[in-house]
Parts: sequence; structure tokens; C-alpha cells
Amino acid sequence: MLARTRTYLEAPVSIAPLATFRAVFGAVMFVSVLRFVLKGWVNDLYVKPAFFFGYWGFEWLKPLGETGMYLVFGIMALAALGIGLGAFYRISAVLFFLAFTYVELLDKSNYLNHYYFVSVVAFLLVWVPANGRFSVDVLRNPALRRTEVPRWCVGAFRLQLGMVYWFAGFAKLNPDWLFEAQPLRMWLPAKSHLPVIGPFLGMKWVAFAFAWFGAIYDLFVPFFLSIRKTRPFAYAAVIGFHLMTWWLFQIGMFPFIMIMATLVFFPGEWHERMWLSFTKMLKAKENKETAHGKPHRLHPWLMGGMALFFTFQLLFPFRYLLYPGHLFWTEQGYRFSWRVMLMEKAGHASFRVRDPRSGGESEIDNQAYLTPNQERMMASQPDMILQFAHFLAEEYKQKGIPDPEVYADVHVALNGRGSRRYIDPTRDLSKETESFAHKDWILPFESTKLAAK
Amino acid sequence: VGTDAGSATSLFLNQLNYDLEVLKNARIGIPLGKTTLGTPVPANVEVRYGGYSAALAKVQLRALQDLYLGKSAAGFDGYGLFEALDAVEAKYDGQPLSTAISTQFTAAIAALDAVPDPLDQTVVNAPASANTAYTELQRLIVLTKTDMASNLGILITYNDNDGD
Repeated sequence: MLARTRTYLEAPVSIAPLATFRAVFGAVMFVSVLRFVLKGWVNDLYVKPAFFFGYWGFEWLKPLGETGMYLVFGIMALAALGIGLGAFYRISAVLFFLAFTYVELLDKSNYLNHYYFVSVVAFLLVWVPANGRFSVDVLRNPALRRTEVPRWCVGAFRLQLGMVYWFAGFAKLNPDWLFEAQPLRMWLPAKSHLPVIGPFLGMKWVAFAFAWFGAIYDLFVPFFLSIRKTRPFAYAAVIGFHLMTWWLFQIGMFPFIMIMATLVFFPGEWHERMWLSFTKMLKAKENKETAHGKPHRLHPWLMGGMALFFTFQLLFPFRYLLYPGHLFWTEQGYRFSWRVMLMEKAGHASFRVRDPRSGGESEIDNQAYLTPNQERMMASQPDMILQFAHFLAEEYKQKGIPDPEVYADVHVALNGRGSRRYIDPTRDLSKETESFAHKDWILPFESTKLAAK
Repeated sequence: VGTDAGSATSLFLNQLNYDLEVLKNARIGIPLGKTTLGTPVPANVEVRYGGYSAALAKVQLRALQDLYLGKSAAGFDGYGLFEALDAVEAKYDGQPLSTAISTQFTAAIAALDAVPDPLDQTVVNAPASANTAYTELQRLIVLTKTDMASNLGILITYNDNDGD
């Protein structure tokens, strides 16, 4: 069994899809990083804030100040270019993965599934010889040239992409999405000023059509992309779907990343033809004399590592099952699971610091410590509420209150239900600790059925 | 355009929320001692020597209510956030969200009306009415910041993002 799996995974396939994947990923990342810097977000998100919501276990990662952060983004841009061109490929991939992941780990207010996706893909790119053809590295050193790679090198990306789609679709199979068309029913009418489709976006059946089509698309597109006969239609759907979401929602680069990345599902011959016309256009000559003859062995450590990686990818999104309560409400096990655009959640959090000696209470002006975006993200996510409460306790200790207590009055509105109290206001959050355990100070979700419209 | 960050609707709503917060915190909360461990700071009331601090707060809240309802100074009731919420059929516990917010506006105005001037003496000698007004304003802000923003599809934020 293991031997047959190994033979399957080691079977030689064309390197062309991998070369394309590397080239488009590097290019899109290069543009993304430049865009991020030019929009001033390095400053807004990583220089200006006084407080950062680090990830549990990674709080020791701190921003490096203005010069340092711009340097990190500079390295990231160069490394993306290196990946795209296949120049100093291995070191570029490692640097890009480290720089990007470091930045993402600094503050969970900036968490996006697509950033997680970028980290995951960059990690996978470190392990494959995607610079084996059509690359600067091969120009520099023809001995690196190879026309084939073991199947797993291409398969890993197809599997990863397929999982992103499938999990995104699976997550849509919830009552709010399917039977209330929420949150689309709130988001689409907000776009009714758009030309042509605008007037339709306010209609209830349109929200339902979008919801059901979206779920079916996400669940099945990886399979249709894998089958030769359905592939052209599936790819047309990919383009249509992502352009639509780009048009309707503020989702930046994500649609383009997906449109480019899914090209990896096309077969080797298709990619070879693309590269051939591309090199012809550039009037570049491929040196065909050398072809890497190394046996395509999959090192046992690498095979084990990949098995571990994909097992993790498969199981981690299901960790929410280990927690009591409603996932969307508690968000315990919500991140890193490809749950995309499932919630319209807005919160209002107001904190009280109490001096136990006098009983006096002060209310906190969140904006004195947080950026508007940080405040918005914090107000509906329990782990961030706890982090901020701990920060406040520390702050008031500095101000001379030996053992300050911190209470939170938080109200959250989820998917069109009326706002309700979110956190137990009698619990001193300074005494609660972060862990993977259930947070029993989150008030239970009162499942009121959405009012019929 | 529309409801993106930086669009007219979102700027309007964000500013309305901001004004409500300033009214609650600066005009009432700070004098009441909400930021000083419960010790009132009467010196920090608005127009302390004019003696009409509470009156100013009442006028502001009525003006914000008019903005919400879409009422002009002359009393003409046009298209406001109230109508916008009805247009998207926003609900709050089964009733229209538009009415829920109006009702809370009325409750906050009534509570504020019960706060006598001069405010610097009220917050020291009889803070109960000011505390009630503070709580009612807090309730109002919860509705405008969470329910209203959600239902109008508006991001309560001040910069664009790279969302997913």
C-alpha cells in the first residue's frame, strides 16, 4: 500500500504546471506587497498601533519599528519577485514564507483566510523544485533544468487549493447561509447602486441564488477542475465567480490570487503550449541540451512531513466540534478553517476597570489604545476581548492600582439578529487566562430565529 | 460609492456614531467620573460658568435624532437612516429595527431631559439622573454601532482593507 502510494506520488509528470504556478504566484504576490506598501498599510497596521493582538503562543513576535517593518516588506517584495522569476528560488521561497508569516502573526486583527492561504502556499513552494524550467536559475545554471517532476510536486498544490474550496463550501452548509441567505441578504442590497445588476441585488431571491450557487460552486469546483471534460467550464466559472466577488465586495487581491492559482489544475501539455508561445514572444531560446536526470525519489522524511501537513490541513478546520456552543457566536475554532464571508458580525465593547480597594470604576476609551480596525475586530472576538482586558489590567497596574479588575460590557449582532449581550459582565477578565479550553465567560447564543421578512 | 469605507453613507454613519460617543463620554461621562474611578469632575462640564451644559447635550441629541430620521430644521421629515433601515427590512427581535432605534432615541432624550442644569452640581449632588442618561445613551450606541451598521452593510472602519 505504502509502496504503491509512493510509486504514484513519484511518477514523473510535466514540470510546466508547477513553473506556471510559481510564476503567477510570485507575480501576484509582488503586486500585492507593493499595493500594501503604497496604500500606507505598513504604517497603519504595523507602525502606528500602540498595542498588537498577537496569536496565542506567538506573542513574543513584535513589530520591528518603522524602518524594520519597511525592510521586512522590501525583503518580501524581492523574494516574491525571486519566486516569480525562479531566481535564487529556494532562498526566495524561504524568505518570502518567513517574512509573510511573521507579519501575519503580529496582529490577529488583520487575519484573513487569504493571507493564511498565502503562507500555506509559500510553505509548500519551499519544498518543490519549481525553478526547474523557464527560470532565471536555469539560465544561470543549465544543470538545474528538468522537464519533469514527481507527481506530488504538482499534486500538493491541487490538493491544497481543492481543500480551500471544499472547506469554504462545506462551511456554507449552515442554516443562516442556506435558509436565510445571510449575510448576503444584508450585503447585496448595500450594492444596489451598481449599474445593470444593482436593481436585482435588493431582491430576496437573488440573495438566495447567490448563496446556493456559491455553496455548490465551492463544494464542487475542485472536482470539475480535475476532470478533463468539465475543466474549461469549471475554469470559466472560477473567473466569473471571483470577478463577481471582486466587483461586489471589498476583497482586494484575493480574487486574482485564486484565478491565477487554479491554473495549476490544467494539464502539463496545456502549460507547455502556454510557455512555448510565451518564450517565442520573448524570442527566448530554451537550452534543451541538459535535462536533469536525478531519480525522482520522494525522501521518506519529506513524504512523512507532507502526510503530516495534509492531515493537519484536513483535521484542523473540524476542531470547532470539540467546543460547546454556536461556532459563529463563540468563534472557538473559527480561524484557519477557510470560513469565508459567512458572518456579518458587529460588536460594541466597553470595558470597566475597577479598583478593588475603593470600588471605584473607570470606563475605557478603546480608541485611546486601539486603531478603529483593531477595535472593530476585537469587539466581536472573545480571545481578543480577553487580550485587551489583560492589557488594560497591566496598564492600570502601571497607574498604581495594585490588582485592577477588568469587566466588559459587550453587545454583538450576528447575521441580522438583534444585538445581544456577549460576555458575562460580572466576570473579572483579568483573572481569566487564554488557552485552547472553552471560554465559559462567553454568554450562550440565544438562538432566536431570524425574523421572517 | 455605496457603502464602501469612505463612501458617503459610511462616513455619515461613522460620524453619527462618533458624535453619539462624544456626547455620552465627554458631555456626560467625564463630569460624572466615568474615566476617573467614579470621582466626579464637575470642572470638566461644558460651559461650566454658563450653567447650561445639560441643555446643550439635549439639543445635540435632538439634532442627532433628526439626522437619523431625516428631518430638516423646519420639521420636514425626509429620507433618513430610519427609511434606509425600512428599505432593507431590518429587524430587531421581530420588530422593525428602525422603530427600535427611534424608541431608544426617545428613551435617551427623556432620560437626558431629566438631568437638571447646572450639570456641575448635578454630577456631584444628584448623579442618579445623569447616570440613567448615560446608560440610555450607551444602549442607543449599541443599536447604531452594531445593528444599524450591520443591516446597512456598512463597515465601521476608517480605512480600506484587503478582505476575503
